[in-house]
Amino acid sequence: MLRSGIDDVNENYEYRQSFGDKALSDRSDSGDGAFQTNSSSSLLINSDAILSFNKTVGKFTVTANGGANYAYNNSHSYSVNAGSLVVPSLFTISNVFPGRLTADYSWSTSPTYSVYATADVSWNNQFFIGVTGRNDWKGNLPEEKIHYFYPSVSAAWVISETFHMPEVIDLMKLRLGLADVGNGLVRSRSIDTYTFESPDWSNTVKTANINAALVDPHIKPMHSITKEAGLDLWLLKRRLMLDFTYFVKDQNDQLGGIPLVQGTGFTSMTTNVGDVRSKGYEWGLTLSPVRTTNWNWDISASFTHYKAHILRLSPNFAPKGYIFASYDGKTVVKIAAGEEIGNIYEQNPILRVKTGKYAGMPLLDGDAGEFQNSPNELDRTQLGNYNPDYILGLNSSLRYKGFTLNLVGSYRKGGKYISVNQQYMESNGRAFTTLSSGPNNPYWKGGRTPELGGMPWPATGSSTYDNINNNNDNQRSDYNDASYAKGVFLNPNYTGDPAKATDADYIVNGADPNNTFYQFPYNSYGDVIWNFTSTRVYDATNFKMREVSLTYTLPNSITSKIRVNNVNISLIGRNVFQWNASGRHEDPESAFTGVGTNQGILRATLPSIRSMGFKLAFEF
Amino acid sequence: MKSYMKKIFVIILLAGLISCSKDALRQNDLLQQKDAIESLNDPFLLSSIIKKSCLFYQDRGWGITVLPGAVQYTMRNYQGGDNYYSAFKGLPTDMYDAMDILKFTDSAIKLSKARGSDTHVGIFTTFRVLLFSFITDFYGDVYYSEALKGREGILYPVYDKQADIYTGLLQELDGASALISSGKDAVSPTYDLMFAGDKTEWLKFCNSLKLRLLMRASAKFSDAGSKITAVAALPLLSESADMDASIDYVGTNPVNSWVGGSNNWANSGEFEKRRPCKSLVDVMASLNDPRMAVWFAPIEDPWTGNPALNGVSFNTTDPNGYTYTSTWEYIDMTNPVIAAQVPNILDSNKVYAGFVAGMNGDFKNGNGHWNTAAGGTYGNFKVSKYSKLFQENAYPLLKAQIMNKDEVQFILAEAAAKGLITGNADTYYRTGIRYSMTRWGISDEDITTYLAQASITLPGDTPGKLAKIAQQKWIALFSVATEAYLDLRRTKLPDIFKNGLLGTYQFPLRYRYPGNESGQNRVAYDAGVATLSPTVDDEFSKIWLLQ
Repeated sequence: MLRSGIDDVNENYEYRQSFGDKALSDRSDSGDGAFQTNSSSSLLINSDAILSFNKTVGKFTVTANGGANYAYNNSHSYSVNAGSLVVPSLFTISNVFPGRLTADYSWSTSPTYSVYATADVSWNNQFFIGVTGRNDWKGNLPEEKIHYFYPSVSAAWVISETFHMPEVIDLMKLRLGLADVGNGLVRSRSIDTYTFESPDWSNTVKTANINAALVDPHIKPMHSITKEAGLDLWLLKRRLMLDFTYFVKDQNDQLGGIPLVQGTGFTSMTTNVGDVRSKGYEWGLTLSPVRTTNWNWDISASFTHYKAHILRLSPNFAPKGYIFASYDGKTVVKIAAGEEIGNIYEQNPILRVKTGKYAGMPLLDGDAGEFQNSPNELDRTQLGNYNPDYILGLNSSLRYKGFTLNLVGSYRKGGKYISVNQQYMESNGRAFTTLSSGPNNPYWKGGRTPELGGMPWPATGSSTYDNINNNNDNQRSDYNDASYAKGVFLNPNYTGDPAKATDADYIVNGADPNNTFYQFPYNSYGDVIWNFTSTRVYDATNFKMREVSLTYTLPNSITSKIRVNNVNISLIGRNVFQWNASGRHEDPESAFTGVGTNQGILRATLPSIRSMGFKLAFEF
Repeated sequence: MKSYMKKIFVIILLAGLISCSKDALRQNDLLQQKDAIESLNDPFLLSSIIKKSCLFYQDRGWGITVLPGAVQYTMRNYQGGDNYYSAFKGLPTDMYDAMDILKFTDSAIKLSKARGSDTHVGIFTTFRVLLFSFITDFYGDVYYSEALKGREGILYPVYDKQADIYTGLLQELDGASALISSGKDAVSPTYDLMFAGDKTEWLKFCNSLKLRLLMRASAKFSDAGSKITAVAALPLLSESADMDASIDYVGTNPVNSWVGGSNNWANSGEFEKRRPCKSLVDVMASLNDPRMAVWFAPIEDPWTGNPALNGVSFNTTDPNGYTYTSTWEYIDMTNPVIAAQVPNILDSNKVYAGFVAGMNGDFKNGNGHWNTAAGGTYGNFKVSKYSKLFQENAYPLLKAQIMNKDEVQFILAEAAAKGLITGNADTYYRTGIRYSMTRWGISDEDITTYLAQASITLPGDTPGKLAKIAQQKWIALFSVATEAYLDLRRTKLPDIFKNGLLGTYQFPLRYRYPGNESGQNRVAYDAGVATLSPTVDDEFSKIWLLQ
C-alpha cells in the first residue's frame, strides 16, 4: 500500500493595542499603543509505503507488515511589530514611532525517515505473540543526524480457550507486554551562536546577544521502556467485564537540561539527566445489571493510580546528589535520587532556630523583625505533592425504550495545588486574608483595625532595645493596626556567635508588647505572600459531574416514513456540578491541564464553564 | 492494471526523490546561516560589550536603589527597604548578571583572537577585568581561573582567593594595554560607542581601571606605592580633552533610554518615590554647590518661618531650562495639623531639602509633609524631588557610566595625600572637582567661584585632607553608586554611617552569595565562606580586601 498525506496550515493574525498607560504629555516622546502583524505557514508531507503479508498454516496465523515512512516539514513565519504608535489607534506599519519597528523572519525544514515492521503470530486463537520494530533517522545537516531503533513484544493467552471454564466465565485473558520507545532530539551541537538584538541600539549601531548551548558530548538517546501485565475477565454473559493492568514504566537516560551555576558560562547543560520509574495500576469495570427489551442500564468505572520516582541521577549531576530547580517562579522542585515526582517546595529556605525549645521557629532579623532567608537550601519546606492518590471515572447510561439518561462524572482524590489566584488577590489587596492574620495563619498576627486583630502601637521609646524603638517609632500609624511576624529574634544585646545562642538568648516576638518588632499589616501579609507559598496550597480532591444528558430517540417506524435515520433529541448539561474538598471557588482540575511544566499550579485560569443545551441530531 | 500500478509507483518515487533533495531541505542555506550565527565581526562584538557593561553599571549606579540608598544619594519615599540596606539581607544575583556579560566577552575574545584583532582583544579583556572585579569586590572569593569553562568539562568551578584574583586581573590589564598599543586592527568610530574609535582613549581607560583596582587593594599590597606610582606615570583619563568611560543614551526605546524617562517609568510613580537624601543635600548646600540646581527640584511647598510669605508662590528655572513652581507654607503653630508635624520638620526656609537617611519603609510625613490626602501614597510636598532632567529619555548630561575622569583625579589626590605618589594632592583634588562640575554643565566662572571658597580648601593635616577629598569624590560619584559604595566601604569616608535614623543599622560590607552557589556549587561555596572573617556568609563578614 502507498499513501501520502499533506497538511498545509497558514495563519495570519494581527495584534492591535489602541493605547496603553502613557500620559498624554508623554505620547509625543514615546508614542503609545502597538501594532503587530504575523504570518506563518507550515507544510507537512507524510508518505508511507507498506507491504502486508497474511497466511494461515494449520493452527498458526501469521500477519506481517513492513513499511517505510518519509516525513517532510517546511515552515516559515514572519512578523512585523510596531512597538509604539505615533497616532494611537491607527494600525498601519508606517505609523510606527521612530526606533520602535522590529521584524522577525524564521524558517525551518526537517526530514524524518523511518522503516518499521510488525509481526503477529497466533495459535488456535489461544496464544498471541506480537513483535514490532522501528528505526528512525532524523536530522537535516550531516552533523545533526541521529538514528535509533526501538522494538516491542507483547504476548497474550486466552485461558478460557485452553481450559474448560465454568459457565459464568465468558473470557479470561492474560496479557504481557514489553515496549521500548526511543526518543532523541536531533543531535544538537554544543556551540555559541549570536543573534542581533531587536530593536537596534540606534540608527547606525547594532548590538548582539549570545546564546550559549552546552550539550554533553556523551549524550545518548533516551528510552522509555514499558512493562505491563494484565488480565481481562468477562463474566455472566458480559454483564460484568473487568480489566486490570499493572505497569512499570522506566524512562531511562531521560533527556533534559541540568541547571548549572553561571560560573560555567552556561545556565544549563543538555544531557541524560537520569532514570525515572513510574509504577501503577489501572482497572476498568463495566457492569450491566439490567438488560431487558425496554430497560438497559450500563455502569462503567475506571481507576488509575501511579507513583513516579527518580531512580538514578547522571554522575556529573550535582555533586551533593540533589539540586533545586525553579518551578513556577515562587516554588522549586528537588531533583535527587529517590525523590518522588510531584513534590513541590517553598521558593525560599527560611532561617529557623535549630536547637532548644524554639527549634523550628523562624529566626527574625534584628533590625526589623522580618523573616530571613537561610543559606542552606535544605531548609526549604515541602508544600506537598501534586499527583493524585487516584482518579476514578464514572459513567452511567440508563435506557428505557427511546429514552436514555447519561451521567458522566469524575472523582480525583488527593494531591495538592497552589493557587496563584490567591497570591494575586492578596498582592492586590482583594482577599480577606489581607485584612487580618486570621485564625489559621501561622506566620503573622495582627490586622487593619482592632476588630480584625490590630494591636495598639507602643509609646515612643517604650522598648529596652534601640533597634526595636527605631523600627516601631518610625512606622507608627494613627490606627491600632500594629502587626508582627511570628518567630523569635536574637536578643540585641547578645554579642556572641549567633550559632551558639541558647534558649535564653532568644526573645519571642509578640511575647512582650514593648519588645516586639511591629509592622503595618500591609508589610506583614506582604512578607507572607512572598515568603510562604504554603498559605495558598490547597487540597485538589474534587468531584465533577461532567455531563448529564437525557436523549429521546424517535422510533424507526416514524423516521423511516420521512426518510431520515437516528433522530435524537437531547437535553445536555455540561459541568453541571462540582464539589471541592478545599471549599474554594476555583476548579482544581485547571491546575493540571497541559503537559509537563507547572502541573499543580493554578494560575489565573478561567473556571470551567457550565453549559446547558438542547441538541437535535439526525442522519439522511 | 499492472502498468497502472507501475505508473503510480514511478510518480511517487519521483516525488519522493524531489522532496528529499538538498534544495528542498535548504541545506546550503542552513549551513550558511549556521556559519553566520556562530560568528560575529569585531564592531558588533565591541558595541555589544560596551552597551551591556555600561547599562549593567548604570542600572546599579542609579536604576535600582540598593547602592544609591546605601551611599545616601537616594532615599525611597515608599517601599523603602533600600533606605536601610534591606536588599543586602537577600541573596543578590548581580554576580550572575555580570557572568552573562562575561560569557559574551569571553567568547568575543576567542573570536577576535582567531582573527588577529589584537586591539579588540585588548579592549574586551579590559571589560573582562572590569566585570570580574565587580564580582569579587562585591562577593569576595569567586570563580575566576575555573570560570567560563563549562565546555571544557568544569561544571562545578572552585573559587579563587580574592588576593589571587586581584593579581590575575592586574596582569590581565597589563596584557590588555600591550595589545591595545600594538594592535594593528582599526576600531570602528561608529560602533565604538564609548571612545569613537580612539585607541589612545582605550589605553587610558585600561590604565585608569588599573589605578582604580590598585587603590582599592592599596591596603593589601605592601608595594602599593610603587605600583600606583608606575600606573600614575602612564596615560590616564586625565586631560580635559579626554572622554569619560560612559555612553550616551539614544532615547528611542526602553533599552536605549535613561531609566527615568517616559520610555521606562511612564506613570509608575517610581520617579516620585525616589528623593535625594538629606545627607547629600545638606553637604552640597553648605558648600554652595551649583550642581544642586542641576540635580534637585525645588520643594513644592517649602516651609517658612515668615508668616508674610505664607501662600506666596515663586518660579524657579534650573540650569537646563526646566521650570518649577513652589509655594511657601508658614509653620503655623495655631494649626493643629501643622503643630503635630513640628517634630518631623527638619528643613525650613530652604528651597531644597532631602529625605532623612534610614527613614523607615513607607513614612509619609517626611519633613512634616501633612497633606497626605493630596500627596497620596508617595507624594511629599516638603522634600525635593530629583530635577526634571532625570525624567528625560536621553539628554547630553545623562550617560550610562562606568568611570569618569574626575574619579581618576580623586584617586590621584588620595594617593598623593597618603604619600603613595609624589604629585600635588590639591591640584588633583581641584581638577577632579572641575571635571565633575564641567560634566554636569556648570560654567567655568561658577566653578572658579566655588573653588575659591574657604570651605573647599584642603586642610594641612592628612586625615583632614583625606576627609575633604573623600567628600568631594562622594559628590562627584553621584549616579555612579557602585564605585561610591566600594569607596565608602574602603575609606569609611565621608563619615555618614550614623546619619539620620541609621544609628542602629550596621553598614553592610558585601553581598551574600546567590542561593544557587550554596545549593549546587556547595564545595566551592564552603571554601569561599571559610575565608571570610568571621566565616559566615552574611553581609557583615569581611572579605580579603577588608581584612
